Amino acid sequence: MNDTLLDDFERPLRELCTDDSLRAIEAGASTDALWHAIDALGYTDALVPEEQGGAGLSLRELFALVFATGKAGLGLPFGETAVARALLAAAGHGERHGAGPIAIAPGIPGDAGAIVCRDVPGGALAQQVLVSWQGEWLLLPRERAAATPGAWRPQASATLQWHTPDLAVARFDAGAADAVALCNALHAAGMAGAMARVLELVTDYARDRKQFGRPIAQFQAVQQELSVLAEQAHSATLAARLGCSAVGMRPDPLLAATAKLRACEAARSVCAIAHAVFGAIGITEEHVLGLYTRRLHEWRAAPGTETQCARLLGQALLAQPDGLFDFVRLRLSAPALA
Amino acid sequence: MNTLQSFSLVAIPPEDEALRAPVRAFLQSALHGVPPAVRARSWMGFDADFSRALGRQGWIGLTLPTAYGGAGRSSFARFVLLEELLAAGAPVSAHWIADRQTAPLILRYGTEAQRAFFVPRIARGELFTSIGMSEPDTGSDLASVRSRAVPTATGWRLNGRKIWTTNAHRAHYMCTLVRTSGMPEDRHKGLSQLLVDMALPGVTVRPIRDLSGDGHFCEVLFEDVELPADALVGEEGAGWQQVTAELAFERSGPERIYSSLVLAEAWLAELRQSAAPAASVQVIAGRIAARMAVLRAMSLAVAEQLGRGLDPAFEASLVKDLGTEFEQAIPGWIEEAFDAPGHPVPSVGLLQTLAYVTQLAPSFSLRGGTRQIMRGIIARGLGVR
Ligand SMILES: Cc1cc2nc3c(=O)[nH]c(=O)nc-3n(C[C@H](O)[C@H](O)[C@H](O)COP(=O)(O)OP(=O)(O)OC[C@H]3O[C@@H](n4cnc5c(N)ncnc54)[C@H](O)[C@@H]3O)c2cc1C
Repeated sequence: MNDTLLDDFERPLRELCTDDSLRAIEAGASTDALWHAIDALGYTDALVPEEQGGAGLSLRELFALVFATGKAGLGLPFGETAVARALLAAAGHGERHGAGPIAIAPGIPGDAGAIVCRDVPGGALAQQVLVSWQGEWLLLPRERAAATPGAWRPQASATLQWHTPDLAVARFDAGAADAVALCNALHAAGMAGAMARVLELVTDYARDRKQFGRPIAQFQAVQQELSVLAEQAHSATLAARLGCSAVGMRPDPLLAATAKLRACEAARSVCAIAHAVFGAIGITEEHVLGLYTRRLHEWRAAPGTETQCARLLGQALLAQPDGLFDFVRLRLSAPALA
Repeated sequence: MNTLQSFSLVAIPPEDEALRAPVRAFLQSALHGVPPAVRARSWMGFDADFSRALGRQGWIGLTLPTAYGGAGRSSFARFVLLEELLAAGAPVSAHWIADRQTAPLILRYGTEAQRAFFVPRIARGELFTSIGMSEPDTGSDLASVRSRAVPTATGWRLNGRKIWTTNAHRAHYMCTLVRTSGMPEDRHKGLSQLLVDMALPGVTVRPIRDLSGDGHFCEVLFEDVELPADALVGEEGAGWQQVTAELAFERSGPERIYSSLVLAEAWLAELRQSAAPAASVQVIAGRIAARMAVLRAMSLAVAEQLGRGLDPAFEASLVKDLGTEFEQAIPGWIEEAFDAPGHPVPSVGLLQTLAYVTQLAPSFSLRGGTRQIMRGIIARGLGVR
C-alpha cells in the first residue's frame, strides 16, 4: 500500500461518508449498510497475513488508510478492526472475526470483577471489543456490555462494562500487546486525517466567504491563522506516520505516544482556529465542521490522553542514561526500512 | 492540502549515520570543559581556530563537490554533522554562513573563477562570509533595499548601509544584496548580489551589542567602495531570485529546532539527580522530547527534498516557524519545572544558561525571516494568498 494506491480506498470512502450519512450516524441511525460497504472495499483484512486471506500489510502501510477514514469522517473503528482481525488471525482465532467492526481498548478493573473500557471511540457502533486485560487479549461482544453514552458522541461512543471476563468469546496471550499503544497510533492517524479535512474545509471557506467586499482569505490576519492551522495539521500527520512506522502490526509504544501527544496538541489549536475562521456558521448543527471538531475532542479525551502520553515519554527519557538528543534520535525516530 | 506527500518519513542512511561517531569524538575533546552558558551560543559562537580545525577534518563544505575542496557527501551526512555540532553547542558561527549559504550560492550562480577562489578557502575554514541583506529600513521587505552599486570603468562603486549583519566585523567578505539598476519602487527588478571584500577602503563596520552583552551583528557603511567587475555573483538584476533560493538553505536546517537544546540537556542532567521527579516534571520532559522528535522528522524530510534538488520553500517555512516556536517555549517550560516539588535546586551554570536563552529567544523567530513572513509563505502555499 502506498499513498497513490490509496485513491482506490479514498474515493469510494468519500462517497459513502456524505455529510448527511455522517450526521445520521451521530444521531443513532444504523451503520450496518455502511459497514458492509466499507468491508466490501476489501481493506479490512489488510494486515492479515496473505496465507490467511489478507493483504499482509504492516502498520506503516495501514497508516494511509486510517488517515483516509479520519479525513472522510468515518465514525466506525476501521483501523482498530483491521488490527484486531490481524491479531485474532495470528492467534488462531480467525474464525471469530465476524462481519462487524471491532473496537480496541485497554480494560481497567471495575467493581466486583468487572472490566471497564472507558471512552471507547465508536464503542457503541462496534460489534465486538478487543480488550487488553491482565496480559491477555479478550474479545468481548459489545451487546453483553452495560454502556454509558460517550460524552462527545452519545450515539456512537461509549464507556463499556462487562460484569466478568468470562463473557469473552476469544481469549489469547497478549505477549507485548498494548491496547493503549495501538489506540494511540491509530487514533493519531485518524486525527491527522480529520485535521487535514478541517484544513480543506477552512481554506475553501475562507476563499468563498466575503466580508468588507472581499474574500476573508485576503485578510492577512486570516491568512496567518490558516498558516498556523496548516503547520499543526502537517506536523500531526508526520507525527502519526511516526506512530505507525512499525514494520509489523504492533506500534512502538513510545512512538505511538509521541504521535498521540502531538496530534492532541495540534487538535486543540486546529479546532480553535477552524471555528474562529468559520464564524458563527461553524457552530451550527447543520454545518459539517462540528462533526470533525467533536471527533477530534473525543479522540483527545480517549486513552491515552495528551498528559498520559507526555508522562510516559518523560519517564522513559528520565529512566535512561542518554541525553535528550540521543533519546530522540535513538528511541523516537522512524525505523529504517530494510 | 498535499498532506500525504509534503512530509515523508525518512531514515538517515547508515553510511551517513556513520559520520556521527567521529564527529562526536572530535567535539568531545574540542569542547571539553566549556560551560553550558557558553555552549548555548553555538551558531552564534565565534571561534576561528575551531572552524579551521573542523575544516582540517573535512567537515566544512561537506556536500560541496570534491573538485572545489568539498567532500561530495549527501544532505543526510550534512544533517548528521550539523546535529552533532548543535547538540554539543560547538561555536560554529565563523564558518556557518559561508558553508550554508555563500558556497552553495557561488557554486550555483558564480563564475568558474569565483568558484575556484572562494569555495576551497571556505571549505578549509579560512574564508568567512557574512550576509548583507537587511538595511535600516529594510528587514522583512527585502525588495526595498537602497544600497546601490553603479557600474564604473573597472567594476562597481558601492554606497549604502547594512545592518544586523552577523559577523561583518570578522568576516572576510560580505555577500550583499544591492540595487544595481532601477529604483526601490521597481521592487524585485534591478537587485544584484555582490561579494564585498571587507578590507577595501570605504568599508566601515560597527559591531552592535545585543542585550546579553555579545557583539555578533553589525552596522556596515559603504562609502564609494570600488569593487572589481567580478564582485558580481550571477546575473545583474537577478538578485531577487538568487536570494530567494538562498533563503531556502538558510531556513531548512536543524539549527531552527536546536537553539535551546544545550539548555534542555543541562536541565535534564541536573534533573536526573533527583530520585523521583514530580509527575508535572515528567510531563514537561515528555513534551519536549515529543516535539523535538516530530520536528526532527520534519526537518529530515526537508533535508531529503533539498538533497533531491527540490525547492521545499513551503515545507522549510513550516518547519522554521514550528521549530522556532518550540525553541522559544523551552525556557518557559524549564522554569515551570524548577518550581515542582522535589526538583533539585538549579546550579548557577544552569540559571545562567536559562537567562541567556530566555533573553535571546525572541531572535529565534526573527533571524532568517520573521514568523509573520514565514506564515505568509505558508499561506501562499495553501493558495489563499
Ligand atoms: C540574531 C540575528 C542575526 C541576524 N543576522 C542577519 C544577517 O547576518 N544578515 C542580514 O541581512 N540580516 C540579519 N538579521 C536581520 C533579520 O533578517 C531581520 O531582523 C528580519 O528580516 C526582520 O527584519 P526587521 O528586524 O527589520 O523587522 P521588520 O521587518 O521591521 O519587522 C518588524 C515586525 O513587523 C512584522 N512585519 C513586517 N512586515 C510584515 C508584513 N508584510 N506582514 C506581517 N508582518 C510584518 C515582522 O514580522 C516583525 O514582527 C539578523 C537578525 C537577528 C535577530
